Amino acid sequence: MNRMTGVPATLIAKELRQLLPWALTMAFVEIAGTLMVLAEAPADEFVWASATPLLSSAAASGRTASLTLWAFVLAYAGFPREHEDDTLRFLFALPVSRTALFAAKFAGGAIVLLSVVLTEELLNALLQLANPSSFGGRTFRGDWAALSLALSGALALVMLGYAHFCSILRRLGVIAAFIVWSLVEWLGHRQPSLKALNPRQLIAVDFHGSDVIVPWGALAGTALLRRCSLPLRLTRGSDPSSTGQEPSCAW
Amino acid sequence: MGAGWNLFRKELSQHASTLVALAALETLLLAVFLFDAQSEVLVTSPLEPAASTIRPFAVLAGLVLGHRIVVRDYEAKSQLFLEALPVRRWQIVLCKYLFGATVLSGLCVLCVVGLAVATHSPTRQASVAAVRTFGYATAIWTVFFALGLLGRVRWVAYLLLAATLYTLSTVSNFELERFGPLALADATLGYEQRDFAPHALLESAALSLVCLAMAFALALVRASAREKSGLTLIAVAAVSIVSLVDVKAPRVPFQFSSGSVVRSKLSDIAVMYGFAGFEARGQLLIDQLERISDRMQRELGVARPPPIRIAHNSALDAHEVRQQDLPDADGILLEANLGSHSAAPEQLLAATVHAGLNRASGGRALFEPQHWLFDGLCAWWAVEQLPDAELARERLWLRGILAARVLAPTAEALRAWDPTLEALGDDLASGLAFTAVSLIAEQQGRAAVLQLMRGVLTRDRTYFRSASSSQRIIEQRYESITGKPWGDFIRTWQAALRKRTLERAIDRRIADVTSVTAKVSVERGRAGSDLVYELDGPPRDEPRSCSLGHIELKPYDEAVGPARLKRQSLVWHANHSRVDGRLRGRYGSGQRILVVIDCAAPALGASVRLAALRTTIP
Repeated sequence: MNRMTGVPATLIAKELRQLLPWALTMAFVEIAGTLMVLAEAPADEFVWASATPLLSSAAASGRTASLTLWAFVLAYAGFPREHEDDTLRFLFALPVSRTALFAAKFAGGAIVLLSVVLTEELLNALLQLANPSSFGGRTFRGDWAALSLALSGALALVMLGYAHFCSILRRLGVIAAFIVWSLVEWLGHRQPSLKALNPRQLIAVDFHGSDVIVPWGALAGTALLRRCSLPLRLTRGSDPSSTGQEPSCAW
Repeated sequence: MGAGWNLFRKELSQHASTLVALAALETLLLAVFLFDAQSEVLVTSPLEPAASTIRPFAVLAGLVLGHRIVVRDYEAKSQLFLEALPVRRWQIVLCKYLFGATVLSGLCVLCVVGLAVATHSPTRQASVAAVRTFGYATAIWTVFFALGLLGRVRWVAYLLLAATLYTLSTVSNFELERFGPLALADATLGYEQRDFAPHALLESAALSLVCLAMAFALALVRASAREKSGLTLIAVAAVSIVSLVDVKAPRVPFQFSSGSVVRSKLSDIAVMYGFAGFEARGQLLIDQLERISDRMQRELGVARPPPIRIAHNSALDAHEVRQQDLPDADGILLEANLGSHSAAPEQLLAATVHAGLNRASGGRALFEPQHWLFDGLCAWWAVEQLPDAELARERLWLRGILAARVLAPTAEALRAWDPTLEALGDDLASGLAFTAVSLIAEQQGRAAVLQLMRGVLTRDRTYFRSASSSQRIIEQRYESITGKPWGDFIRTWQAALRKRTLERAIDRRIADVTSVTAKVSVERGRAGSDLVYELDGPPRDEPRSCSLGHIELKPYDEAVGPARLKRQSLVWHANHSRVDGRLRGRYGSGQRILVVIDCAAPALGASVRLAALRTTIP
């Protein structure tokens, strides 16, 4: 049987249907978070600059933490869930290449995660509309907002890549991720130049005056790392299309 | 006994790989902290790395063991097989608990004792550390064991526990780290040589007993998943409600410990005058502040005026008032030079009213579109309390006139008050606001001004207002109170300022300030960029008191209060017409900075801003 090498839209649609409960949970959390902000202070006192990861280290840490958490939730709702439900064999029996299956899983998670980032940025921008001192270029700038969206989106994809990689190891992957994360934090604390290893640096940018210094090096580095992890992910277990054997349960 | 031992052996063989992994993790953590301790000068005890290791390790290992020993057996239904054996159910639960406690406390105690032996620590110190570690690890394990028996709901329970502790720490004065088991593994663990911390040990034992009872109740009286979920949801809702309700525990008012203090008999007000010579001044201040506190209640409807504390500080310049933070006590604490302030008392009174009313409004009074009105009202209201109010009013009008010469008095200058404050400095800006408020009082009556003030103090609950509507908040309120257009008032105000400016006597009175020019710029120096300042003016018989203020700005524009500026005194000697200098290498390329030059103007009873510059260092 010829296997399709592209990523069928139906596969992505299936992934999105599977992730729908999580997407709704994330939407609920985002909206509840916004309502909490409104409950704490009137909307006209909300300052965009103090809520964007580009300009606030607390917001950068918060967004990194939330994106990491959601990325792991989405990744672990993918192949490990298929493995637990014993539906992986059925997936491998479809006339679709393993690459396409993986790409569909990744694309489903990416769509949900990027929607979370977009929602967060939109809510931040909408909330500050009521603040008379934010608009007029004093604490809000369109180019900063666009860059915050782009860098947060990049961070989301990077974290999703790492999370998919950890999901090979299933529960041990979470512990391994925790240890690596602790190590990266500790190294950054010991040697500030090693802070670049931390994905958080993607959104905690430096400024020259009011101009953002885009962390192209960190972006390229993490993209390369993620690219290297993909073959590892795909080479787990033999491809039934090449050997004609029953697919092994890598996950 | 035999059955128990067999169950224990079964757990050991089942979880051997977990034990090895945990031991490896503990060794890794210990290695990291040992490496870290070599370069930390503050680490003076050889047991400190062990203490740093067991704090996170016990929590992490508790989570893992709770999952492996309790949850997995219940999820895999293998406990049903165990229950079919000729042993009682409580024996199975007890055996699992003892196994986890032995493993966790064993690993933690081994870490501490091993390091103590390797570093030849005193026996007593090692014993204290070992006992406290045992208590800490056992209590932590008991908590995770009990929560593990909740099954899938345990994650909600963990979140609930975290939320409860967070709420307790923010809503009340409760400090969790002062109680066992956290107190057992606090910063003293690696250093204590005598105290076994019996109170914390008892608290940990009590917590362990409660959790153990809960664990047995959960294990022996099985609740359905639906019952567990229902209970959890109720608890989550309760914690959410508590966290939303802002019920900060009342704090005790700040008290002076000095003997040179006069206290009010009518209100919660105290003045620390410092020197016997200032006692009369302190008593006079008490009388004025008593009136202010009383009128805050009667005229402005402030339910409970805050405790007011004024402290004499001879290091402060004339007319300078500094507010201190009181993170752990109630009230407002202001510092002023009581000797100098007798010349222009309106500054100290206005600052007191400002701080007190701002607290009463919950910070909303400083919302930018109404900030000018608040500043002006505080000055206007404080002046009313003074016996020589006319003189103080004249000084404030002079400040307003001078401000209007520097910055055009427009509606926009009032609306965008933060840039106005920066350009004029706090004293000139409050003078400008005072002139506007005085004119409202003159034209519309005192009642209209007080009504405007009450609007500023009331916490506005209109959440969804557009930015343009927020900007016009005072204008709309003025129009609804007086029934007259805001534009008309602005024109009248501008005309009044113009008229006063044309008076000949004015020029003479402010000549001392207007004859001085100041310039500040950035130049490339040998050690980076320098801030260069120059002040020129006619020579005087007495020295002038000036200062250079500077601060690094964020990439975006925000208001910078005077307290945040780093100050440097500029020495301008008597009979000199010029003072200049440079601040070398403080800021580097790409940094955004604000630099200001302020000089004292005794005729105005205030400090006057002569230059303000926002720039990016090239």
